[in-house]
Amino acid sequence: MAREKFQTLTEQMFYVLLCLREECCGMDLMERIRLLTSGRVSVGPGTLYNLLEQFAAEGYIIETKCEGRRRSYVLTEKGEERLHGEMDRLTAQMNDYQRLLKGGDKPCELTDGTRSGS
Amino acid sequence: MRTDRWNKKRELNLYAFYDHTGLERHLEKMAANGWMLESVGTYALRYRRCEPKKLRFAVVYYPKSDSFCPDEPNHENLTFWDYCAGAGWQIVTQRGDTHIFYNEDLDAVPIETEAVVQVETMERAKKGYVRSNTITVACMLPTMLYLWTTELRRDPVAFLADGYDLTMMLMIFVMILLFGVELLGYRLWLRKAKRNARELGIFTPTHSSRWLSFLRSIWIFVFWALMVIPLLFRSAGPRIVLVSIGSVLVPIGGAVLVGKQVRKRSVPPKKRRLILALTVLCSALLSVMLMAGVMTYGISSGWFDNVPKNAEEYTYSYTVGGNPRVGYLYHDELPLYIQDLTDTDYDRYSCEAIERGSSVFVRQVEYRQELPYDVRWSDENDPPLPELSYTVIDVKLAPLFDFCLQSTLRAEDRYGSEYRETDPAPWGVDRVWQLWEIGDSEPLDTWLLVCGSRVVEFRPCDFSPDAAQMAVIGEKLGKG
Repeated sequence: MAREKFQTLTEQMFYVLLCLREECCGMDLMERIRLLTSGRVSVGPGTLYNLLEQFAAEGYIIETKCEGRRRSYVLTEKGEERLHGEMDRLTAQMNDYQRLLKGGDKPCELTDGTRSGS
Repeated sequence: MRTDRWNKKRELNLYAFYDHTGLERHLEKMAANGWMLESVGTYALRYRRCEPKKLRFAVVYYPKSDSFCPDEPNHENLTFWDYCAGAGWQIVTQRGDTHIFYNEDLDAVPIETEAVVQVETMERAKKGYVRSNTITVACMLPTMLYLWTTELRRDPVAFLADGYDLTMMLMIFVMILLFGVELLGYRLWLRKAKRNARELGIFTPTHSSRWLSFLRSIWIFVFWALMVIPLLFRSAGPRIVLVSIGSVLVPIGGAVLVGKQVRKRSVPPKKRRLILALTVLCSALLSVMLMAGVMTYGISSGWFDNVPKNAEEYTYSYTVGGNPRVGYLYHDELPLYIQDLTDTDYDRYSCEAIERGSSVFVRQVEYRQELPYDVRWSDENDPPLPELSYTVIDVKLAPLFDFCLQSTLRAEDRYGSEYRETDPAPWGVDRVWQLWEIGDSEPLDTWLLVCGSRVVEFRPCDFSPDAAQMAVIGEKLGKG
């Protein structure tokens, strides 16, 4: 069965949205992600370009500036919600891992202040 | 000094339209051997000589090309290239939705790093091409099969004997199949690539058969050659071919020149599209007008008149004092003449041999020994002079013999007549049928003779053969 688009974000999608919490030129995003993740995550230019188009079409980001061919984007409220949703999903995963493998230590807080599994 | 020719190289593009992996590895190998890609054509890859070096290539499909200038980068394309340049990927060439980049850094971040995005983008880029080709294949295959079966049912012998049509239909059929196989290969790859990307997050390399592409290129070339060359050997053929090619090529050439000039000058995109759209429209109109004009002039000047070879011209008229018309007296060699059967001393017969078709399966030749029209319609000859007409069918492939014989026997059914078998002894052949009109008590003067792998339809006019004449006919026409 076909999965709904962006139901879960891949690591690269996640970092693209995360780095756009501050306005940024699309072309500079690759470097920003690389620095943020200490080189662990690299987003290819083709992937980045297509993702920006798709995120803009979904309303997750909005174009803020266009200087020649340099376009800047920033995360929208909808994009912020999507990012929080993904963060909660990852936190829930981490808490499940903690509970089962690390003896059920204090779970991490979700973005709304609650704790998953508590 | 090295010539330009020495520094340039072309080769057939033997990679399927979706085979980016195969093309990338090939381009890397060529660069390592000192050949840098310069441009990509429909069927050819063009290179220029360079220092042999290890490069990485990336073939990327990006859907936003300008349909009026598919090979010219638009704003979206240029932005896309800027992104790639930021990661060290330099554009080599673009053709339609295919963009080819190289990178000197062998460890550079790939252009595509997300499998799902890559597959989706490629699917969008190839959607138009795949859809139009699928529709073509889906429509052409049943159409071809329908035409085949219709022709085969209508006149099986003529169909099997027509080498040109048979070859053309077979060529088109195989070509459609070859395109179909490529489309199927793409569909299968796409399905697997989508599954791998969504479930495992991995890229799926593409594979395509270079042999299949080679065969298709050769097939297209042979198809055009087979279609055009026979036309050149028909009397009006060269003119028809030249007129057709000229009428289409001249306006297209004009449109290409206009397009190049427009691209060279910095015309705004909107204006450029308008100019190119008008140019395409004008060149299409000009093509039609040119073709119509040249054809009209050609017809009135007698360019396309088929003056038969081995024939002498004579004039006749339908009525006394009517408009004179041109007829031809042929002097072809016939296997059997009226003179072999009767004592006629008339010597202005037209003897015509018409090869209806010849293929690896069947050869069908029609022979006629006829009077000139003015003599045939004259009341002076009483009794009328006899004429002769017969068709010889040689079946070259034994298993087809019964099929051809039965279809020839059945062919008369639609005219309200039927063949009834009669005694072959007077003819000295294997089997003989005579034509009867259904419901009539008298047979007609038409016979069907079978001798070995030969079928002869014998239709004399104004005489009915006696036993001695039957023996002569059997002996002359029964020999394969």
